[in-house]
Amino acid sequence: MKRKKIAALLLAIVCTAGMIAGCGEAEGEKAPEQAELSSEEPITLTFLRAGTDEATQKAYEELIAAYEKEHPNITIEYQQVNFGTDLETKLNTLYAGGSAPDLVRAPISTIALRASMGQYAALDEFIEGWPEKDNYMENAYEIGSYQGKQYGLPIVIDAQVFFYRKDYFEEAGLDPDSPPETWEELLEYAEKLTVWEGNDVVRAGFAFPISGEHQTLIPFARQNGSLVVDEENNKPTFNDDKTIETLEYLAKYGEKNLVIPYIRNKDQNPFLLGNAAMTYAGVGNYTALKADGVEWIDQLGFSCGVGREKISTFGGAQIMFISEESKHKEEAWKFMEYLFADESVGKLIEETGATAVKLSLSEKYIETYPEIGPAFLETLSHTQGMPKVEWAPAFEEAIKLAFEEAMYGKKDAKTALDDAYNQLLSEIE
Amino acid sequence: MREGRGVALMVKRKKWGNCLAIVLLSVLCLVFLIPFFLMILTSLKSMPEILASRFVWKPEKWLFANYIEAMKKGDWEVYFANTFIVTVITVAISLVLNSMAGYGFARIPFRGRDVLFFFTLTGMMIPQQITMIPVFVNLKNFPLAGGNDLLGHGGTGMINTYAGLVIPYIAGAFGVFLCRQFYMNFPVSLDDAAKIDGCSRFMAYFRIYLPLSKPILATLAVLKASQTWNDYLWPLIMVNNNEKMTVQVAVISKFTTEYSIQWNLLMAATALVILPLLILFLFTQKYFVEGIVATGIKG
Repeated sequence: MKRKKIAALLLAIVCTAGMIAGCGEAEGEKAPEQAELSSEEPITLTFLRAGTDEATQKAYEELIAAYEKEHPNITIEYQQVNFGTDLETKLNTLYAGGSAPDLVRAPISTIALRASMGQYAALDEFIEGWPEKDNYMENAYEIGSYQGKQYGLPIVIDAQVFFYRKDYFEEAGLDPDSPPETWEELLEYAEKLTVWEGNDVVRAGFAFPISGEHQTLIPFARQNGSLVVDEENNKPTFNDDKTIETLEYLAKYGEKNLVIPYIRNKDQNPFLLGNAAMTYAGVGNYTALKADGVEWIDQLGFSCGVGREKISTFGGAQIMFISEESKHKEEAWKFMEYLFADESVGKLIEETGATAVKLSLSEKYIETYPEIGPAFLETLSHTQGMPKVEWAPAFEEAIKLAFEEAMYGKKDAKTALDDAYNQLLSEIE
Repeated sequence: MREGRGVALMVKRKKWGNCLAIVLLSVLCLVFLIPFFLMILTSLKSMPEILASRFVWKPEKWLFANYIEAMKKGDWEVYFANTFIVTVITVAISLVLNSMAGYGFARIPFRGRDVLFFFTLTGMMIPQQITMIPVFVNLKNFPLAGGNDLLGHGGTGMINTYAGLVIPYIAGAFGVFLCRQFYMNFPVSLDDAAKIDGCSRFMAYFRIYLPLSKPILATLAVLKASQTWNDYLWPLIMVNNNEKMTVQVAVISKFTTEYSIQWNLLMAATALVILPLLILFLFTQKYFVEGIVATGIKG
């Protein structure tokens, strides 16, 4: 009996120690700057990338292997995770658990929330002494900033270029060298280019996702002069007349039966399967088509798309960050410098469709992508991404909901936007 | 005469009742089988067929090669081995712990038993998303694990280890509850008889109750195995590399990219991934049903 009690006591002590340890924070973890490391001391850096594309994984693994060869004391543990909920869950847990990756490549939507929570480190001090700073494209550089501080450096700006099929244009009696420039032209062309079998659309005139979609309404609303979100005053504005008018315009494509319904990030864009004549897509899509060896690759035409008050296209951005809690910020920055050297960016451009974020690489970009390169670089100046607000994920969900409801005719544009707006406001508040 | 007519009416009603039950159950069977059927069909199609604007029931060519292609993407031997190891260890330990705890709560009277059981049950009521981060922190800071010191600092704890994948599941409240309900059904005289024969509590559990527990242990084994095998969220946050990746995380990460989802390969891999569970269920089906009946718990 006595033995049992002693054993139980010991067990309780071990469990309590475990719990205290779990709740506590190591002193060493609190003051990473204090860690003084000699250049030869072995260091492990962790690098988490959002996205699971195989070509990008391979390119990074090769870059890492080359870096490790040059720096034998550095080991880089590369990991990747799917976009969206998976990424958010993983980052939330790692940051809360004190196991944050030293380097993170994540979408622009994470910057406001994670920078304001002190999870991403401000890089201004490092960048100050970086000789390549002036060689970095100004509008690309700005994407990595938040409230006056530079938190990251974008490596991919996934500007949505306007793709169209010249052969389908000719078939429909349209000039293959004159892509649409206005909303009216886009709708008119879409009607001419759509092919039906009975009531089924077998080839869409203009392809865009109907579900899980925020990357159509936002740029079209911006084209129409809407802010969508007032970043300065930190409030949504997407139930204004301009956005309502935009959603009404886009709903017409559904009403006129001009679209093939599909879900963003779940289904493939029908254009990429040859079943649509016009769409907005990224350079990554173009490289994938080229790699697949589709017969109609030479029939593709590119432009920076349509406009109303202005031209605007959506651009996601993948940004490199360093975690504030990293114990090896210096080493992480050195690795980042290596990733942003011309050679590394050049490799990522060629193999993964990354963006020529450095001025010195513009020519190389056009050489690598002679067909889409010029249109892409022109599109870059009209590209805007997600608004940099802490509630960006909730805003994205609200836009998706309103868009889907209006496209499927469940609500009219005004009601859908008002409802989504009110729901977002209640969430923010 | 009237009695005979009454019996005939009852038989007729019973027949109609049986027919109705068969029809209803057939419809339910279909509802449950259709997703499996679609999974197999999709796994044998080409991508253009899957993405065609009109639904294609029968693939033009049955692409059995999709299964081979799916297994070529990634180190599937490693993922299957990892998941197998984690599942077997989890099931084995949880059977021992849950049945012993269930036995204790059901058969051993002690002060505070019901209060303690109530606290155990709260584990069933709190969603995983709430406990995820605290459990992660505890395992990361587990003393003397993964380079940690006695206070749990300095290393990576149980991140990227089998232990990190197993420990959170071995003592689930549901298993304890299930076993307790099962052991509650035994008469008190069984304990008295064991006591008269000189059995200690442990011996009574080991020699009398455990041999009678096949149905509940089989039920628990199937439920635990499917929970562990199918889990996605916990391995996603606990594992950072390919070497410890489990099949569910691999299924999503290998066929879903930022540009597209390869539905045919995803479905082929999914069909292969659920096979071991299907086999386990077929082997334990008899006991599983008995266990469900004995505890009155529906999965």
